[in-house]
Amino acid sequence: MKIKNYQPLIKFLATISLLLLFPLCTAPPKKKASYRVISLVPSITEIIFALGKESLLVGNTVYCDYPEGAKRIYKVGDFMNPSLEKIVALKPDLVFLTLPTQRIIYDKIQHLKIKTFVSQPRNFDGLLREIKEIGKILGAEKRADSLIAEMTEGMKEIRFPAMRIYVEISVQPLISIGKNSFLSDLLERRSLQNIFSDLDEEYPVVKIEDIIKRNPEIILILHPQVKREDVKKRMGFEEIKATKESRIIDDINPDLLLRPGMRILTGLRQLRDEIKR
Amino acid sequence: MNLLSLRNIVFSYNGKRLFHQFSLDIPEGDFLGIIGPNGSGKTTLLKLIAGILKPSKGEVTVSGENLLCLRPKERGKLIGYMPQESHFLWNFSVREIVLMGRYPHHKRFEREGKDDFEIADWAMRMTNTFDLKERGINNISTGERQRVVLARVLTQKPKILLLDEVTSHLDIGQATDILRILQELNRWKKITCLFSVHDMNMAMLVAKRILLLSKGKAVACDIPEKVIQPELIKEAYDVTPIIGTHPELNIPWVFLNL
Amino acid sequence: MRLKDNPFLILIPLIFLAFLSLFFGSAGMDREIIFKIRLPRVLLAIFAGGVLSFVGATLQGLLENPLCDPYILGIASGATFGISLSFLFGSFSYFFIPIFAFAFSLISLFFVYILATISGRIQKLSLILSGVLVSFLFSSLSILVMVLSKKQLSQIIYLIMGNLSLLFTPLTLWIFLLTVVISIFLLFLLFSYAKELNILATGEEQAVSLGVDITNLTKVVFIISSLLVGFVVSFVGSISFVGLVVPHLARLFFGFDHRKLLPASFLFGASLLLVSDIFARTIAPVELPLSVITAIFGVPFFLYLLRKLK
Repeated sequence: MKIKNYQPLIKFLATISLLLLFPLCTAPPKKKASYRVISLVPSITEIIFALGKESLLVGNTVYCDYPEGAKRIYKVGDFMNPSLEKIVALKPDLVFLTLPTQRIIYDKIQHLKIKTFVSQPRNFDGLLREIKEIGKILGAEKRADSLIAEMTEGMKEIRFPAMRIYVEISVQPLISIGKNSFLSDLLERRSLQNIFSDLDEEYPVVKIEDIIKRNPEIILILHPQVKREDVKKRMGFEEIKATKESRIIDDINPDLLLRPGMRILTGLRQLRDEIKR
Repeated sequence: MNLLSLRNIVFSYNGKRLFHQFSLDIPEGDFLGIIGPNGSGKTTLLKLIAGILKPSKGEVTVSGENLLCLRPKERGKLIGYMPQESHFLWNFSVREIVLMGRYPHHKRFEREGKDDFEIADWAMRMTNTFDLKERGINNISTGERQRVVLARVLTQKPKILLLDEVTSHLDIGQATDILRILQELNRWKKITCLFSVHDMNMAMLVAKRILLLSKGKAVACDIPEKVIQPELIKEAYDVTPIIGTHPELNIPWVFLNL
Repeated sequence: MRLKDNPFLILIPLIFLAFLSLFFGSAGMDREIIFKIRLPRVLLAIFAGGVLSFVGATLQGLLENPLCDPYILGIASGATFGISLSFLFGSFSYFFIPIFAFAFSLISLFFVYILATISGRIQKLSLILSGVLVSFLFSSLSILVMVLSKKQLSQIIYLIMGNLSLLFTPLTLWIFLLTVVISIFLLFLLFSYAKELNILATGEEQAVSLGVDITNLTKVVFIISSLLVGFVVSFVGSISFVGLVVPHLARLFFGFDHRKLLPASFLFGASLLLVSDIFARTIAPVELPLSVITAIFGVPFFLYLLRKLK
């Protein structure tokens, strides 16, 4: 056999071995931590940073983008589909996740006997309880207590006029917030009245005619797809009080209000200032 | 002048040359039976004339006009084509199928008028399918369906009728029915008929002339007595037949021997 | 006059349903809401249901395949890809989404056309195969883009299933009305091929011998159908079921003649979508995906008719 015939084979093997080298480059960095945790929930990542325990955080998701330091943590995947392999490779002592969205990965992790912490804050009190628990687990109880005190005080300070508010999460389909969502609880607690608080679903798909009928005094747009001007132009919206009195708010970062984390106070303050204007 | 002429036709099928410099002339009122072994080009020849296949060289002319230069509907008025078998996806009624034959005579949005219904009725009576007219095309027998398709072709009112082994799936009763209809049309309506058939004796029953094809070449094309010769048939089919005479019609009749 | 002979008699239930749809809804009978919210929605339902069914019937006839639906030519997947791509640019205004979707349905049309053309001719089988191929390609790309753009799964499902809850602005309303005018013209063009579609049922060779220009027919019907489906998908996403089943429903009543079948399909499709939309809007406090309703209500009805009329 001629040597020439081997050449394609060698090229092929070389390519394959190069490809095999590739995953090595993305292997998790060897981070030393006494207690290793992974957060699959952006809001929990924020809490861990606020507690000053980011040194224990060995992995998070691509959605964990706040604070700046969170972006540099090793990514185990996205919010919906984190990679089990990467999670296991990090040898975590505890994984933070949320249900029901992450049910599939939760079951798999359970099966591997890795400890989990399920984050499901239904309201403001639930969030405070979670902060306390996380503080206890990560050994930052004092910091947690001071954070809780800070948030409780902050909440008391923020006052809203009693008004009807419509919150839009998505435009295609048209999604708002229902009674059982964290944000609805937060707003109602501060005397803003969610026009869809009669719906049980967390994030219900609503009808245009219902929005008009319920005539909100504030429209809060929490997605980047439309701007204030677009909302004004919608047919049938010109009669809504919020449009007439131009209280359509579109420039609050959705993460501030939708993530049950440390930044909700910032979000609420921004909302208050926008309404006052 | 000949009604239909094929001049120097060249045609290849799947890269294999089937016809090379093939020529044929058909006078008006002719009744041509096309015979030949499988793969000799019977069906291809009819499809070339019907405009379904296009020759790579040469031309087919009808009354001196090149077929490819005619508008499709004009061609539809001149030539009717009936295939070996017809399948219908939608269960149209027999009457609707027959009326489709009027398509080449209509303008885009023209609806069927009284004339069209009369022609369709005539064609259905002619083919003995009138009683079936309300039935679905897929709810009748194969023989009946072939007669309906023939009625459709007749409704087209073509000058030239092409029939491709239309009797091969029929029993002898149904087959002779079709042949009788064709003969009447040729005799009384002066419609020029070209039909291919497997059974040479079938061809002999009605044809005025016989074309014997072999590998895309015309072995012979003449009156039956001249074509049905042992050596010509041997050349085309590679069997030696016994040739006798039909006791009543006094035409040549082919007998086989093992 | 018998129902069987005049498909335009379906206009009566259609108009009835349109009025029902105008006055039904959770927000009551407010004048403002009826004219500004429900009227455009009723028009959208009639447009989408009608066009999808009409095109479905046409393509089933052209491709001689009773299982064809309007999406078989890969147009919807192109539009879906356009929509998902517009999500990737987060700040992209929502009101341009239909335009984006239509642009990409044109691109997929172009792809299918190139793929299906073999030595200057479009053949049925290559048309179906190219459609399926392009469909797969764009669907995968859409999923990829959706994953990258961090969209929630429920939103993707709504996008794929289609819905009529388009938020109209005066501008979108004008674009929509213009689209309707163009569509009526295109539908009329397709309708002018009704006789040819009838003849195709007798087989391609017989159709050619009767004087039907198959090459031209396939090309024209394919392009017009694609444009129409592109219009619909751009406004309402891909609503399934209607375009596949309504033509069969129309055949049960009006027979197979495309001159009756096509208008009948349009009117039946429009009615079915109106009914489904009334249910989708009123059955629950939240809005339900339309395709789910069309199938849930359409399938038993269709089965019943099939048994009864056979």
